[in-house]
Amino acid sequence: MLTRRRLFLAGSALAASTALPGALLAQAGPLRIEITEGVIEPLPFALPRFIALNSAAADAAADISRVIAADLRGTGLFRQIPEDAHISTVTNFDAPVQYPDWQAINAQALITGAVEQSGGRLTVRFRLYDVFSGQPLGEGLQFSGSPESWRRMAHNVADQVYERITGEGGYFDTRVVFVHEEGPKNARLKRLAIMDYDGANVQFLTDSRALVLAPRFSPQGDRIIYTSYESGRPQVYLMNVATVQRQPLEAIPGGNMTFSPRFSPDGARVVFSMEQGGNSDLFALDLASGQRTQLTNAPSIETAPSFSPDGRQIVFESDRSGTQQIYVMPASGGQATRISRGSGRYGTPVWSPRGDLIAFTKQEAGRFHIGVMRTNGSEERLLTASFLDEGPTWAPNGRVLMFTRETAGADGAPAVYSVDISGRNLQRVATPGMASDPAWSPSLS
Amino acid sequence: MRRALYASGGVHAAIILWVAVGGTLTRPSEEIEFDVTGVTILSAAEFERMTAQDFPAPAVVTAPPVPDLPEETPPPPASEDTPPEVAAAPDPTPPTPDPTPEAVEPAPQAEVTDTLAPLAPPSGAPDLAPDDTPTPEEAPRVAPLPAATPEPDVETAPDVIEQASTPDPAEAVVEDQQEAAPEAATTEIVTEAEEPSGGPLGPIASARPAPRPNRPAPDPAPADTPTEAAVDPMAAAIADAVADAQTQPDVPTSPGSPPISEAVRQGFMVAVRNCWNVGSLSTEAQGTTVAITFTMDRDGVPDAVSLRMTNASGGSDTAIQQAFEAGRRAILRCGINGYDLPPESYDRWQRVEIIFNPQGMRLR
Repeated sequence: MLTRRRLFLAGSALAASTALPGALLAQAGPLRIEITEGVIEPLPFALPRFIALNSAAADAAADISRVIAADLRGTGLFRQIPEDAHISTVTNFDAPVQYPDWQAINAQALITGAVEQSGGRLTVRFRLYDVFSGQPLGEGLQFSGSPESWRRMAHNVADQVYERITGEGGYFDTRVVFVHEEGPKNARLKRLAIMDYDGANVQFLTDSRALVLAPRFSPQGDRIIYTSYESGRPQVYLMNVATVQRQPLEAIPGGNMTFSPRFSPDGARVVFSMEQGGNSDLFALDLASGQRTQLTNAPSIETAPSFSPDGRQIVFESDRSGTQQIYVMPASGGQATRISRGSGRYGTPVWSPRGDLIAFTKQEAGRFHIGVMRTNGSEERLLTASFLDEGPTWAPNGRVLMFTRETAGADGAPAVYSVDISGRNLQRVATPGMASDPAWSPSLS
Repeated sequence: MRRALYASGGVHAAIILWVAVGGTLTRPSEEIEFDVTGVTILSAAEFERMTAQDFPAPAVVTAPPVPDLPEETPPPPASEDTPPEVAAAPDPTPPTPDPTPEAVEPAPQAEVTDTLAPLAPPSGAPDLAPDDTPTPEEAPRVAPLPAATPEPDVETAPDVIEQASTPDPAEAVVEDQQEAAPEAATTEIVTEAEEPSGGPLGPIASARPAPRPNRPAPDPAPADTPTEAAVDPMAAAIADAVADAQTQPDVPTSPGSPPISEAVRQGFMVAVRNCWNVGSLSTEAQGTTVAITFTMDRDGVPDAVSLRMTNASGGSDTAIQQAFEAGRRAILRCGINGYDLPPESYDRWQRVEIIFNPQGMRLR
């Protein structure tokens, strides 16, 4: 018995002796530090010009490279390293990446690609690399389409890069409908126009014989709903984007004015304002059945409704409290709760596609702001300030807003701007002349 | 006589010279220009015919010119208060309505047709783990082999001292000690409201805290009391084996290496922090905390293969992945030439765990 005990002691001691250094190391543990603040700066990326696999693809390769870089730079989240600073030259799409060469110029992401055009088809391949980790970031992809679709393919590649690095969906393969304006301020002509998000491919949807306002995309992006004075009074119209065929939303009895329309998230209903006897309330219309439902009934102005992404709630503006404020109510109508609590007036609320924020226009002390707040009205943040900023619209990823900014004075003119929800990266959107009332489409991809 | 002659000659010469060249030195009077306009005589019939005509209609404005856009995004305005450059002021003449637009050209289709096979890593590149997905895993916090609890060499004093030993009056340092409350100096209680002199309402000085009681002297029990193992020859042999194992070379002796000073620790933290870029992260990832462990070589260069996420909180899987990649980029980018850490303390920073907590930068 004693011998067994001695053997156990001996084994334990030997085990302890061999394990002791490791145990001591383990007890010491790793060096632990916590970092609570970093830096916020654009991520440097390198984008060597995409390789043209045949001569027919040379122009497309250059154009696609340029558009991808412009998309990424335009977000304010990325910084392109000039091509003349590159050490490596990518001549073979399938060649191994020389990471040290890209690390030396501090490129944190590397985008390589190749373009081929044959048989009336354009093919684009790309790969994304995390330079300092020395490995691909996601798998390579190949896009194919007609040669005319080169711009969309470039946006698709940029969307992929953006999504893999930021974790949010891209918004480059999208379109924007807006009101194009011409003429002096006291005789302004307006017409609907549509363009790519970056201002390319502008096409007009209406002529300028009738004043148009507040266009909004359907959730599928195939229809547009807007307000037009075509009949002499404001009335909501529905337009098919592909055919440009339009029709009044419904035959409103009594010649009442309808305005400020917006689709429900499923596209089956439209909510809008209608004036009756000098008072305006919110109504919902089922597009299939034509059934109209009154959502509010108050002796005040209710307008600018916008659905929550789940379709259960509606945010709108009302002056029922004496000043213009923002309220939330069930989508079927009912008790409304005021969520704007700050000083000043609030209007044109729009629910974020992510559902976490509501963008709005705020007027205070003679200045206009675009801002965001939580859906309960908390954590209000103002993103812009100017003589006149109004009418925000969300990018499909809920990260960027577009809005109208108008300059002061008799020569004042409207333009479309965009801003990140952090308040950074304020920039003007390229449009052919004066533009206002932008509405962002869903992603086309 | 001759002087008069010379004077007369000089005056005449000056007059002749002035007449000859003086005109070129003087500025001629400006000529008045007249606009000559031809006049056409109209007959009454011609005038009637002219005034009866309508003014010509302005040129029909077709689609406004589309600028060469969109690759270069225009720069942002200099400041919020500076009026941005917008489209030029419009012509005061209202343009004629444009013709009805035609059907909109649908967006050309572009679709993903294939995914590409991964590339082989380049020669010389580190061999990455086949699956580098940062699955959260528990950090190895215990030794892989169970170790017998060694017998304590010295008995540790309990954390809470129940009863302080009475110090020797001869050796105890005499400190100013006060009672919990001084004895009343007056026969009546004077409240603050009744304080007559308007003196300070608060205490002027706080009482000095009572001195810490002296540590109890260690038990005089003899430390060299022979144990059973010490007197047993087999136990002595085991003890020798243990001693040999502990003195083997090439075994890091963590307890012996000098500790890392707070300054070095802060410097390391700042070095990583400067490369931790959260600007390109999603708003959700900016609210995600991740813990990453890794090892470094003696030059302070992180081992890329060793990076593992050991903990994460506050976001979806996608957000955690983005937060991990941002942390990994920070560790590798700023450590590419090695972090500045004391080599003599290598045992203490060979393994590192960094918690990236963006609470200070989070978008509210």
